[in-house]
Amino acid sequence: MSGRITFVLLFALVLCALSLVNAQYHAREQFIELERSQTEARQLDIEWSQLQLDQSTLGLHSRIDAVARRDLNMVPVTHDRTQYMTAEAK
Amino acid sequence: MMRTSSRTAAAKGVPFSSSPVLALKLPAWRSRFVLFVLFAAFLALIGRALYLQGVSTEFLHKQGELRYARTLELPATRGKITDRNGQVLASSLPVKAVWAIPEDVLEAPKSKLSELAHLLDMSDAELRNKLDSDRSFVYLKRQVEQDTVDKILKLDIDGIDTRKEYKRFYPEGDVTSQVVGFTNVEDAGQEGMELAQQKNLAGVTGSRRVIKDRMGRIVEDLDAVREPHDGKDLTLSIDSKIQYIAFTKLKEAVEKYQAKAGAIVVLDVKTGEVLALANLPTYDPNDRSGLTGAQLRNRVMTDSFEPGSTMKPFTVALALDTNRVTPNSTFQTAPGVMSIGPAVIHDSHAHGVLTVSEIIQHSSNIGTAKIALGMPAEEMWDMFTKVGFGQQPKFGFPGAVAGRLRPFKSWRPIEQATMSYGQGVAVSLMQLARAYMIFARDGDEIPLSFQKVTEPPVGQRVISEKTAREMRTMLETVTGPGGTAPKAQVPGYRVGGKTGTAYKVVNGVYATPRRYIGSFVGFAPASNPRLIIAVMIDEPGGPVHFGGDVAAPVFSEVAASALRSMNVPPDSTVTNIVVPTDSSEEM
Repeated sequence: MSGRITFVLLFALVLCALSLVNAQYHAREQFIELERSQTEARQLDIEWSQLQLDQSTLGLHSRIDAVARRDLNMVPVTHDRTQYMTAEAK
Repeated sequence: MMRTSSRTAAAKGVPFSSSPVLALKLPAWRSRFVLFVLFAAFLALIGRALYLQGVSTEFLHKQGELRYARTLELPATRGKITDRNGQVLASSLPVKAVWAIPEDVLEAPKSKLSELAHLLDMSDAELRNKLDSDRSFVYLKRQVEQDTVDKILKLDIDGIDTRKEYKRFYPEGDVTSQVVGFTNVEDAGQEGMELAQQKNLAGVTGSRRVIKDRMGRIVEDLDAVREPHDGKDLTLSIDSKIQYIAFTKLKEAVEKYQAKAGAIVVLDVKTGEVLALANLPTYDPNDRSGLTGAQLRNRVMTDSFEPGSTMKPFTVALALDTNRVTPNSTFQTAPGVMSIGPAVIHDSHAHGVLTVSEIIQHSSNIGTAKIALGMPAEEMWDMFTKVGFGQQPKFGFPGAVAGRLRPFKSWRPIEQATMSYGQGVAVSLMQLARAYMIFARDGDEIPLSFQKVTEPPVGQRVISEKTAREMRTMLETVTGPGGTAPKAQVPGYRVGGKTGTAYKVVNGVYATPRRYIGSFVGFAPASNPRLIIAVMIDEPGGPVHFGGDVAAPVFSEVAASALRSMNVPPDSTVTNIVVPTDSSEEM
């Protein structure tokens, strides 16, 4: 009788040991995955900063001003060519 | 042969069991000795095992960790600086510092070294100079961009390595440099808001201990991770559009009037935010080689000058507020010269009898002095102090000056008279612009801010609402026909302001020959002011030097563009403005 219990317990012990190995393996795998994602997040963050900077550089008022005047032949709005619509005026 | 011999041995006749060797009687202690030795060896092993497991485990753990655990530094990024609309004014990007172990590098072939020098943008001799060192670690170049670094690493020179660091980029360049400031190679703020907000902008580096597998991948964290904290982003009150307008118009004026320097500041009347602040000469924060102190100086904040006539409205406002005069009280200013004790003061033109309103409009020194002499010095000092003159400003900007306002007890009458029109006191352009808040804001004063303001600040009353309104009406006549600054007019908007032309003080005395500072401080639109714009042109070199001629046009252009970009509805139907030629009537 006691031999049987020992056998069952031994079997359970082996199972537990194996599942521990398995769990550890998965944990490490997922950790590496997490690590990779975090690196990617940082990379994207940097890229975002870079793009923001590019946007600022391309959207410089001096550049817009120059392009509007030179390439698009635009002129600043003058007051006598503007009609203002105010809330009170019907 | 063997077989025969063994046969012979057997044949010779002694069977194994009766071999005489077996019969040899050994002393009993020998076997016991062997047993003891074996037992002792086992004991030693057990002892050793116990020692390793129990006593020296810590040391062994450490040794083990040394072989697979690594401490990683987690860098924190410095916060971005943006303008009020989210446009990036300063941002940090990762770059690399290239360093070398000179001994190893010098063994590389010459062709590779010269290629390296070329990539690092220096001459062969320069590179050799850097490598010619006893130290085992030399920075070759810092803040190298990634593309270049890749090329350098491709050269595959022994002893060259890189280290991650950050470089700050300033897309707006010299337009915003005077407000934003810059950082050094260590990413620490040196000037402007970068310096003032260093604590918030700088991040806190974190670290973590990890186990790496043989592929170099991180497998497990050993301790709790010390998270890095990125620096906080900073949203300035600056509007980059208005900033650009202010900067370019100021630049045009400084060049046109051959001035030594210039400064402009634009304030939001409702919130106290600094919408634009520009200085000339200035610098490009992305390329700081050959910087001079003159370029670095933020004249709006750190330079004080004698304001001249821009002070007059405060004297007049005090007299109005204390009911000593009304806008229509009259003063005799003829013949344009007045002696106070041994001293004599002048008007640039004799005017005759002027009302208080006309004294402001024509900027009469004598009229202002007469008003001032009717008031106790203490009250004037009190007024000047309340609007911030002579007070250390709390703008949170490095190097802001307090200006100079002497205690009233030491004022002599002539000094009280000259101070009433802005001589003998010194203020910064920022203080001057802020002081005009009391006129633009119905009599109260609010704190200024370089950061975006979310809720309107609470003001502190200095003069009554009635006085403020009367002053606005008077200041509006300055820009009207007959005033000293018709060039400040803005099409479609009513504007008010005051010109100032002051002699420059060098080392405590007025410079000879006379050098001037032309200034204009004004608000727009006059019916419900939204902006205060203060302009200062330092030492205009051409024939014109009056504030109404050199500074007022800048005000007009900046106000026109800024009001339009802020969608402020026009409050005047006048669209055609006849701007007279250079005026000569002013002080």
